[in-house]
Amino acid sequence: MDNNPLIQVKKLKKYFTVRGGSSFLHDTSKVRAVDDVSFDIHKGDTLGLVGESGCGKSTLGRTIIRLLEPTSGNIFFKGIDIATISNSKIKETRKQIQIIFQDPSGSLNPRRTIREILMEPFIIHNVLTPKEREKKIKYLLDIVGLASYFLKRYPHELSGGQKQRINISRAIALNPEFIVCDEPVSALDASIQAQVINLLGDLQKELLLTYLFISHNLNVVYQASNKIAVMYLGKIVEIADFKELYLNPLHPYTKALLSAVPQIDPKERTQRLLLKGDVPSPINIPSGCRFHTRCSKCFDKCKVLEPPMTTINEKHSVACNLYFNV
Amino acid sequence: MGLIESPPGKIVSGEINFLGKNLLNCSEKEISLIRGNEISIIFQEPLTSLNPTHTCGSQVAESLMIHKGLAKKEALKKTIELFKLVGIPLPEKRVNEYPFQLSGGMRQRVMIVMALICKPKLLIADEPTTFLDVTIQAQIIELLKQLQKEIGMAIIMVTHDLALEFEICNRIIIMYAGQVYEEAPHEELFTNPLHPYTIGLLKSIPKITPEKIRLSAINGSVPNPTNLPDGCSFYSRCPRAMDVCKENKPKLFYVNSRHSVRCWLFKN
Repeated sequence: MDNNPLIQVKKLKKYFTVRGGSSFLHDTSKVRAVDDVSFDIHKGDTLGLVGESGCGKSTLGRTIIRLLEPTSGNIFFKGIDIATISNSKIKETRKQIQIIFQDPSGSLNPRRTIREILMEPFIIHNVLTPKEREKKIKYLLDIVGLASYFLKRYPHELSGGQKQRINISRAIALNPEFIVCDEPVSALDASIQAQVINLLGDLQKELLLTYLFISHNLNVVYQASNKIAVMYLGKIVEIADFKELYLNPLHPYTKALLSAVPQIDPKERTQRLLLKGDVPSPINIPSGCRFHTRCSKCFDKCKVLEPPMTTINEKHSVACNLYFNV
Repeated sequence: MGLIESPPGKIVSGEINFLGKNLLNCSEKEISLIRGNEISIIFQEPLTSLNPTHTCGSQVAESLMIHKGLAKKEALKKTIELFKLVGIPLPEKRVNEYPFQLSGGMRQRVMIVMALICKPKLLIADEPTTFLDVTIQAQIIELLKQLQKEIGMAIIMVTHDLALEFEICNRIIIMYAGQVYEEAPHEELFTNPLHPYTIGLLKSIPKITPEKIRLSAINGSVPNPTNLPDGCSFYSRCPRAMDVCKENKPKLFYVNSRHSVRCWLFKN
């Protein structure tokens, strides 16, 4: 049994160059969307990636599957660095690595029937006989709980939840091993979110899938993941098993996030830790620890020293000067 | 608030009694004096609610000039004070900026100032924090609570975020397919939810707990509002549906003076 991680991301960076927008009158500025990120995901696991607007989580998800070209760093998938392989080799990898997007409608061609949409992966990758394809698309509908009459329908005839199930069907069509789920339930009603979260969990067990589950909603990420990484302004500030994160959050930002989430049960509510101000712009990242401008625990070192990831135990690491001693 | 265009919208029946007066019987002139003054509203997306061609300061000052008769200079000075009150940093600079130059959280604070400037008796908050990050949401909610205490106003908070409602509201109304399905004080709704829809909703919401529980989903989806079924609109999704539910629309039944539920299971 291979104990190596399925996905190993090492010092990944994704910068965007933008014109203007800088207060220093430079012609171009760099948006450091993903700024030196490293983590592993083992087969069968779900790594949840949580963070607020501008933290870089969606950019990270897209860079890992090479929808965006990495600026630097490595992305090992089953031991092969897909950050630098050729476009033709990437196409081959795409059978094994897939993505589900946030907007259920945006990913479905409104001028194609569901049958045509589900056929596309087989056509693009030139796999399966016509008979096998017919059988497979019926199976794909069935496994996500949709009746076969949906094949004749167009996307606009489906509800949000049904459309997202089609997106999931399409993502599993080629028997992938790894799926990036980029805010897969954020656009769905509360009662439908639960259906889709459960479906993703069931499919994971049945098809031995590995997920990177991205969401700004901490409740959803927590429910869906066994390990969670918290991102802030392009960096991972804390990464831990879900239970460990719940019982012992260490980074001040993680604590603020957890306390900010509204809880139905009054017994689960804790004292709100309010953060000062807004998230800085990713063009103008603060010096030292990038969280220091909003941190209630900030001390002098934080303004100048960017803390590296410190291992607390085998299930928990945090990038914070409170836990880093030179 | 009378903001839905007619056609296509139309108020068919019923009353809206505000401080003892039926708003449906008021003239447009009377309503416009109440709107923004005694009843105020904060919308979901501040970027589309704020005029992009006017500075934030002038939009707020406008309300002061119309409803409080202040001169332009005075109104702008008061606006700067109010921006400071709601925690907008560098308020003297912000009053001259356009909505697109502010972050989501800041824009929502401008909306709050506009809504509260005339110290309304009632504030309608329509998904005020849906598009905001959770840490900014926390700031805005604390701000609203604090201002509510100072002004002594009532708030109707419209949101799909049940957890947020439970935290902020002392009374909660659960709506489904255009009707009130359950209404109760928040502690009672949490300890004793009655309607199968409410129970289903509460079980389907992901929570952060030390042990993970499989979410209990409500099957099916919301019915098409132009094609509602004959009986209870929730019939096809209800785990406790009975024969009577299929053909007959349930009335609102009161289980006690503060808790009502629209469900045949609770017919007195």
